[in-house]
Amino acid sequence: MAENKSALISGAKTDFSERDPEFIRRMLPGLWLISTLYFRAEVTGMEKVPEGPVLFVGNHNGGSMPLDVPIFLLAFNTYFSVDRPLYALAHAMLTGAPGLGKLARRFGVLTAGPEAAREAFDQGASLLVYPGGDVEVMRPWSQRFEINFDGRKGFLKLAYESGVPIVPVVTDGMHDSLIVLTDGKQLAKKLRLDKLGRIKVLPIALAAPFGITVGDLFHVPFPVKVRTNVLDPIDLNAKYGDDIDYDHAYDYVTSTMQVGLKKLATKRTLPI
Amino acid sequence: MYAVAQSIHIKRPVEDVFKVVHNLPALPDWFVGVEKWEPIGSAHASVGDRYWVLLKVGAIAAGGEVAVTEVTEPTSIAWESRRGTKHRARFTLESEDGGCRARIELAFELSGAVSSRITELISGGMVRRSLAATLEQLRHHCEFEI
Repeated sequence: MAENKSALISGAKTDFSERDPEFIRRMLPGLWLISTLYFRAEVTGMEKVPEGPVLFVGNHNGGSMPLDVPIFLLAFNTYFSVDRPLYALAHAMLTGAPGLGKLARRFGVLTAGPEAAREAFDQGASLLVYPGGDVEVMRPWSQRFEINFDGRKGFLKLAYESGVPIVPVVTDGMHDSLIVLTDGKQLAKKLRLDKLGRIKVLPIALAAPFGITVGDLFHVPFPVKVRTNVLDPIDLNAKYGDDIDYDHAYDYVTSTMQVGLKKLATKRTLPI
Repeated sequence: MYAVAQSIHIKRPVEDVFKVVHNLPALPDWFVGVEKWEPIGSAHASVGDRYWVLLKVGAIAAGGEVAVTEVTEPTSIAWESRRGTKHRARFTLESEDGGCRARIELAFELSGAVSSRITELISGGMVRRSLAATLEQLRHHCEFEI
């Protein structure tokens, strides 16, 4: 059990038994139908995922409704079956949310934290993380083709020390589901949101159904085309041996994902 | 001609990047959308050397025979179509902040006064995204793979 005690919003305690494979199995067909009809979701490259525990590292999109996360969870559970456990690390605001938090936890969503991550690997499970977190998920729409992990390197240490490969996952399209005009970093700092809830941004966005919104607590995503592609695994231990340079590894992983994202964007026919 | 240009900063000296760009037989390693790139004869990267190509750049497919028209070490290299879809491509490199700025320009001849304008409007973004992906791949190749 791991608990996040340092933030005001602490999220749900980590309990791996909350993931409910039977529930996921029952929900898969209906959710795939919704994803296909609403987002015309495409997930490619699953065949590149090696056996055993892996650390999926994704770019985060879509503001407060990053639905490319459940789309990837659906794709993984469909491709590998629900018997291969995958957990996604998420902000405490999600796992602690009434109703939605419970639903997310049944799909294998855990409150983000290094202890929970290591415990997942110890159990032989895989993990899905979004190092860019709130900063990336609320980045301005003009930066929708950019990877922005905000300099966070914890995922590299986790993969390296746990001896699991990183599998980069890039998604294009979901960041068109609202138009973030500005991320409001300065405003969030002045309001001390970073101290209160580890929230570094306070976006101003154009989103349905309210039009211009501040904070983006909720919106209905535009029905945009979403493409996700799994890239080749990166084994940090094989690449760096005993002497890893985390700055170099960070540049390498983000650069690899930047290429993957820009290549994925070439499949678009329209800007949105 | 309808031209689209993109550029990127690469953290490597101009000379190193030029070596990659100048190695035209290996162009498919980093040019996004190359479906065919075959030297004609013993072509490499001298002025007059020719290639059979099929480039899918966004919505535009450019196929046919091209000839290298410019090689200025270490700053520029260009080719132009001889047969097939009329187009030309030009890479330029210049020193910038300890690295270099790589720029690519792709120009196509679109026929018809109205239809060419419509094609430009529709395909402009796609071509730009495709060239941006090519430059991103070139940057990654130069910074991490050589």
